[in-house]
Formats: sequence, C-alpha cells, structure tokens
Amino acid sequence: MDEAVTHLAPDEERILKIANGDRNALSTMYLQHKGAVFGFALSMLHDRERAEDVMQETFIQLWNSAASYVPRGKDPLPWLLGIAKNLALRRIRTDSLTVSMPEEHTDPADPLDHYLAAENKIVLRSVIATLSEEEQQIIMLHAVSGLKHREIADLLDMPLSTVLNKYRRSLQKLKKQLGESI
Amino acid sequence: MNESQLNKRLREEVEQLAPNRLEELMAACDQPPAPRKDGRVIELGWQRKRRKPRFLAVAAMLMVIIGLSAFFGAKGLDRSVLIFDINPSVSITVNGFDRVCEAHANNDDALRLLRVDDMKGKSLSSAITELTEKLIRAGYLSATDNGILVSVQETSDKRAEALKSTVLTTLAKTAGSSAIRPAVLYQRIGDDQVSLGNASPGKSALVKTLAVASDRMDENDLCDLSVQDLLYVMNTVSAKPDSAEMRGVLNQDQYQNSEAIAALAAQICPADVSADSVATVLECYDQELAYVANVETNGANYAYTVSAISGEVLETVVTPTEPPIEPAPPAVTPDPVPVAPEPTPILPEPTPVEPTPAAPTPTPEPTEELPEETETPAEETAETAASVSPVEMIQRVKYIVDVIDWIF
Repeated sequence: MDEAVTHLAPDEERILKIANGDRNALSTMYLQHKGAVFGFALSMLHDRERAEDVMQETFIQLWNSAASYVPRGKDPLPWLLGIAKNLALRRIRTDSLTVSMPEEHTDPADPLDHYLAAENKIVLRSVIATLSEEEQQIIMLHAVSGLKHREIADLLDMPLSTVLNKYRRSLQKLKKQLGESI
Repeated sequence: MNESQLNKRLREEVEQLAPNRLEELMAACDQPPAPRKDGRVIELGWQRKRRKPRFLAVAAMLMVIIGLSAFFGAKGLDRSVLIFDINPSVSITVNGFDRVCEAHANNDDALRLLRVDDMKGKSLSSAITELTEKLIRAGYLSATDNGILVSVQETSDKRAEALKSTVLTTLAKTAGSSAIRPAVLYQRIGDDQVSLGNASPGKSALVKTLAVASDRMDENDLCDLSVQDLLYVMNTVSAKPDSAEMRGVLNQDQYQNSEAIAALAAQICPADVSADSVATVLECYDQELAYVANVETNGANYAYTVSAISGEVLETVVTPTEPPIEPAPPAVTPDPVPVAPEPTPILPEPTPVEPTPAAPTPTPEPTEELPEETETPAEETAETAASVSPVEMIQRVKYIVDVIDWIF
C-alpha cells in the first residue's frame, strides 16, 4: 500500500526525473554518489576494476529501474546501494564459477594493496588490509556514504547492535594500525 | 587521528580513487528508461490436477493414525513450547517425542532468517542445529554476540529438565563447531506469560524482572534492546528471573565498563573532578544501551549520556546548582538591638582574664557600660553581627558578664 508522501528528498526528485528520461539528473546522481557506490563495491569485491564495473552497472541499473522506485520522503542512497550490493553479489557468484582464487585478497602481494600504497591512500589501504569484509563494508557505508548505523543494519541484514560493535572495533583497529604507520 | 578525521580522510581517498566514467555511462544510457510497470497479474495457463479421492487409503491412514495415537497415548499429544531469542525470535512446539510440531517466527528478523515450515517434523536437536547455524551465518550469533535466551513453557519438571539437557547440549555443540561459546540463559515461564509489545513471552519475562531491578529503564526501554544487551543489563544490575539458569559466560568485551565511563566523564567535565566522584547508571538512550555519568560540582551538575558500546558521548546536560546556603542567614536576625555592639575579639579567652585588672587593656576599664566598652568600627561590628546567630550572641554576652563578675 502506497503512503502519501508530502515531501520528497532532493535525490528522490532526481530519480523521478531519471524515470522520465532526464539525463542531467542521472549525471548529477552519478557525480554525487559514484564515490559511495565505488567504495561499497570495493569493500565487497576487493578489486578496483570489478568495483568500477559494479559502479557503472549500478547507475545503468538506476537508469533502467528508476521507474520502479517508490518515493518515501527519505534519502534514496540506501536503495541505490542496495542495487550495488546485489550487483556485487552477482559478480562474486559469476566470478567464483569462472575464476579460481587460490589466495586471499588481503595478501600482501595484492595488486590493489600495491596500488593504494603507490597512490598514498593510507587510510583506505589500512581499511583493506586490517578489517574483515563486513567491517570494511560498515566503515565504508558510514564514512564514505554517510549512512546511519540503522540504515547500514538494514542494508547488510545485520542487527543494529552488531553493526555498532563492528564499527567500534573497526575504528579501534584502524587507529592502532594508523598509529603505527603514521 | 580521531573518528571524524579518519572518516573524512577515508571519504576523500575513496572519492579520489573512484573514476569518472560519466561519458561511458551516458553512452550506455542512450535509450529511454523502461516505463513503470502497472502490476498486472498474469494468469498462468495451468490448473492443478484434481486427484480422485482414495477413500480406502484415507480410511486406512485414519485407522493407522488412531491406532498410533492410542498406542502412544498422551505422550504424542504432549506439547512443550521452546522460545529462542537472540534477536530473531523463534517459538518451537515439540511433542513428547521431541519432534517439532510447529514453529513460529516471532519477529521480522526471524522471518527473514528461516522458513519455519521447514522445521516441522524434524527432531528438536536437528531444528536447534539448523537454527543455530543460520544464526551464525547471518551474524546474529558470534564470539562477540554470544547471548541466547531460551524460554520453555512446560509444566512437568522432569520434562523441562530433559528439554534443558537437549537444548543446552545441542546449542553448545553446534556453536562450538564455529568456535563460539554461547552464553545461554535458560528459563521456565508459565503458559500465561504475557507478551510485551512485539517481544516474545520469554523476552518479556526477562524484561519484567530487569525493569523491577533497574531504576532508569522501564519495560518499553528494555523491550527494544537485544538479548545480548539484556543479559549484560542482567549481569550489571545483578537480577535474574527466579527460574532462570545461566550457562556459559557472556562476552562483555564490547561494552564499556562503568569505571571507564566515570573516567571519561571526569576527563571531559570542565570542572576539576576525580573519576571516583562520578556516579554512573545504565539506561536506554534511543534504543541503545547507554551509561549516564553524573558529575556534581559547586556550580553545576553535569549529566553525560555515553553509549555503552561505542563510548560516544550522546548527550550532555548541564544543570546549574543553587548557591551554597550560609550557616546563619543574616537577614533573619530578629532583634539586633541588644546584641549589636558585640566586641570584636569575639571570644574572651581565659588568657586576658588574669586577676590583674591593669593588664592588657586597649579598651577602657570594663564597667556596666558594656556598649561603650565594646565599641568597634561600625563595619566590623556589622560584619560580626551578620555572621553570628542571635542565640550565640546572647551566650557570648552572658559569658562576658560572667567573666566581669568573676574579675570584680
């Protein structure tokens, strides 16, 4: 049952415009949220190129399925990140069928790790190297996407208390790691 | 680097790393988007085959069922209800043979987690194993969040003991295979246990006990907390339902302890106070477990609400305090006239009371003209009179008169 929404969030208005074929609105959404989508995809896939692909596919999906979005008067970023999550999971499934992964992604010889070191991405490198997959996702969603803990819990299907605990532990790990490296 | 700096830096680094492939996107989206679907229901072109009733088979089955029921008697009809609360809440009804007759998801988390219909017909051990494995996979049960509440509705003591053994053994075995040591609160509750809001009867029973023991949290607050939090509250306020038994040790590493909260409050309080003087108490703040640290200073009371998990200061309330009350309010002096000329050296110590009258007397010889003798600067007299109560003044005057009597 649809609820009457009296006030639309700015991004919701953009999605409605996208549903009507407004490419400028899509462009604005892309520039505004590509970092959030990319960061979340990177935390799930641990691979820069695959994360880029998922980022692009997410916005293509936004273009194609904007009409199915139901405005709720809230920021639609969690909805967009939900698309990214499903695409990343699909990517993981297809890759696992076709590519053998003999080693962990967080191996020191990981090309992503080298790349981040070369790019002087100290914090991001620490996130990838230090935190577990779920912790990376939580940190990315909170720090980069600006999602609230409750929204993260909904998106990742986790209890709120688990999200809070993992977030706190991640911060402690990062501070320790960065304290040693800086 | 603090939390906000760290988050900001991470955001900047990810933004820099995210490529700008807008042109590619625009090229890929050159076709107009798909129109909104109108939600029509598409009729499927098949119909379920109707089978002819096989009366004989049905009758035979009924006979078998009746025979078995008679054979096993009441045992098969016995019903015990087990309620598992972690955050998902599941009620499992088992018969006397420990077979699951019915399973019910008590909340949305449980609905998302499992299909309760799949549990029907399984043994209790298998159902618990399946439930536990799903809880672990979904992150509800872990080495950090190891609290489980199991409530059983069973009137027979013997049967309840047997169920307890099965439940605790299976839980420990299944969780142990994932290196998790569960902390299980096992309690017996009555069939008439009322549910509070969306909470299960088992959680409601625990909540009621804790609400009585806690000064700052009522039933509504406690119902919003996870079982892990409730068990932490239970340990903190040292309250437990009468029929409950705790197995295993609750992991409390994720919680800030009250000493750390007191130290934090003393540190951030603008006044110079020690952590020992800070009083802390647990409460709920926006569905989150939090400590309230109260710091009392001369000028104000500071109440810091600090998250019991993240240690983040959630709220600060500063209340100015009343100025300290004088021991004797000067304005209340009823009749200053007879005692106003109080001598400056208030207490006539025994030393000047030597029998030699000519001794040290900056003042004239004491006579009955007491007011003149005790003449002092006006402001000093007023100040003295203001700080001494009337009763005390009368006593002092009497004392002076006694001393003068003694001298003469």
